[in-house]
Amino acid sequence: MLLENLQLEKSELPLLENVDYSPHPKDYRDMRLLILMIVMFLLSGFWIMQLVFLNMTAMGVIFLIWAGLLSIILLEEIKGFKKRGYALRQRDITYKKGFLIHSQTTIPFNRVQHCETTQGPLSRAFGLMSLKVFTAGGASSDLRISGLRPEEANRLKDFITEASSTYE
Amino acid sequence: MSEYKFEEFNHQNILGVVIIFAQSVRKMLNAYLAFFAYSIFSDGVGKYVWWFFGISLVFTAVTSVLKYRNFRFKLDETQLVLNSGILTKDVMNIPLDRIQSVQMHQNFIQRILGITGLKIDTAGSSSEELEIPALKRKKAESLLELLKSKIRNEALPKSDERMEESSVMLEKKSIKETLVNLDFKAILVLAITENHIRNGLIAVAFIMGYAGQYLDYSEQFVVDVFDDYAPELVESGIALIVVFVFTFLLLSVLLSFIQVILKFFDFKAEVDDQSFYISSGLIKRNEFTIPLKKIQFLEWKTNLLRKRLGFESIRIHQGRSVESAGKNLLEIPSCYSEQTEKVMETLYTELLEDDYFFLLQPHTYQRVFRALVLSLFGVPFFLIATIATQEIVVFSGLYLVYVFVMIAAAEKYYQSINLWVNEEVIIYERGWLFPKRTVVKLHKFQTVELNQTIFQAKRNICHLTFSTAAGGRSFRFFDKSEMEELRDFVLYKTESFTGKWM
Repeated sequence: MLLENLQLEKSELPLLENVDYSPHPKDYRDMRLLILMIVMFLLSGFWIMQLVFLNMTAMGVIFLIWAGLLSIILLEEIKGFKKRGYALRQRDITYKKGFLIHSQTTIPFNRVQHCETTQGPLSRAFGLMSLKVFTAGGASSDLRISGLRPEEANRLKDFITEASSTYE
Repeated sequence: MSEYKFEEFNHQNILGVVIIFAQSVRKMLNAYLAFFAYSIFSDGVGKYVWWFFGISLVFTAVTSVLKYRNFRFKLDETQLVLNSGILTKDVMNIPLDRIQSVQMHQNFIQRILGITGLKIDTAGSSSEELEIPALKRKKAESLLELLKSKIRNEALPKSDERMEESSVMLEKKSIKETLVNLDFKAILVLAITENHIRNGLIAVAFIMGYAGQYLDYSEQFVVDVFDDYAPELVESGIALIVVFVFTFLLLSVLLSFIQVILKFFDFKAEVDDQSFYISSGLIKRNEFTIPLKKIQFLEWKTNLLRKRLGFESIRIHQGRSVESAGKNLLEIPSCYSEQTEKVMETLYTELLEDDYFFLLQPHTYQRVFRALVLSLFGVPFFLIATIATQEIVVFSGLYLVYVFVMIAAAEKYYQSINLWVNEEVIIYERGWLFPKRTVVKLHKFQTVELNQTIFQAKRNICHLTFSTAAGGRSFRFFDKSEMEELRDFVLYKTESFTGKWM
């Protein structure tokens, strides 16, 4: 097996830090905020119900915890949205996200099993689509990029499928 | 074969509606079973259950038709495309070279209707979804043939490589070498050095979980007995605790012995340049052949006692799909240094010399964080003890001692962490009471993730998580620029690797 695999100096490595990330359309942020609002609304019904059973002090404490949580989530959503983005390179795809906990996930194309685009009713209303990239390791090592424009998602899917099928 | 056009989108056979309906009803019946059983015993509710069931049945019929209508598939040069979904539109692309196997299958209903399902097995996670449930037999056969021929074509360029490999094999003429062969004495040593407390706790948790179901019945009985004997019990409290601890330890040791003897009786591990061969077991005898290429990573584990005696155990991690098929985590329970060396030599061609590409230690903040977490773990216990006994001074003092011990332990753990990377493997070593060493070939990685909280951003620390097909390992609290460099290196290595990896 003639494998070209030469010794490499650290300085010659292709750097992932230097790539430009493509952001999501603004609609995606709005959709996330809408979902958050719906969830909050449903949950608030639950704690208004508690009003009957609890005294005012307990309510105050619960409200404070509630407000604290909500502000953290909002901070994460609004600040974090700017941190979201994907980047394609010749041989891999990277997705980054998160403000409080920032993460960058990279999957090389030659480890991709298959690709899928899905669109739920809500994301269809916003004109968005998600892309899922599956690897062999199970859910923990798969990648999901939500909130892409359908044409972009499909283009990405085709590109990754094409790129991954050129490997053995 | 030419009578079908698979390049364009195809629907299934119209009888697919029945198949999909039958599948859905079967799932629904499972869900309704409890309700039916309930309705038999309480006549008031029964009527409603049947009503609901009727409505669900109609609903299922409608969704089955929709599911059938929206399910389409096509096969082009490089991939199989499946479209599905009612409310959501799912498009699944399966590159042909990712398909592990294709099989036709028929259940009872399919056989009556004269229809065949086609199951496609990829190594991916959602393999059960990849099914075309209803095709006419001839169509299924021709699709199967076409798929097989295309997969074969895809594989064709590699035939050179394969030939080369087989010729190399002939030259080398691999001989099976015995790696480990445990006699009874070795098994006893193994049993003695097990982590008894852990085994005991697992057993206790298991029994508690099991007994929990009957707790309600026995509770009253226990309370009665306890009330009668309470004074004596309190007096002999300390004696009771001693007896309890002693019994627990004794049972744990016994359990370890039984487990180890059952599992590793007449354990034999052999190796040649293709595979590991493992056979073991007293009552249920297992024999495994593990192709070296299928191994995702190895993990050496030991404890202080075993380390003193000079041996470790090796866990062999294979891909998830293999592990879930019942071939659980394989283990070579007792490896001395020469056997470890043999394994390393067989698996890793590049000798592990001094020229490491990276040789890293975590950031010093790691031990601070660990000491903090460990100290906080103790807080509830000491708080409860203080409140219960009102002995504030005693327990504050004890907590202080606990914190110091934890700080020392965190320091010890920190010292034990090492991360080596050379041109071929990553070796991640950590642990002091229970040392572990994970060895992964660089090209086995398939997802790389870098995590950083905003609190770590100031210190320039991050976690790096690598996932293989058998799960992953995280390198926590390392310097960020070093981790970025390591990530780029691993990605480069994975992406430039052209051989077979799974």
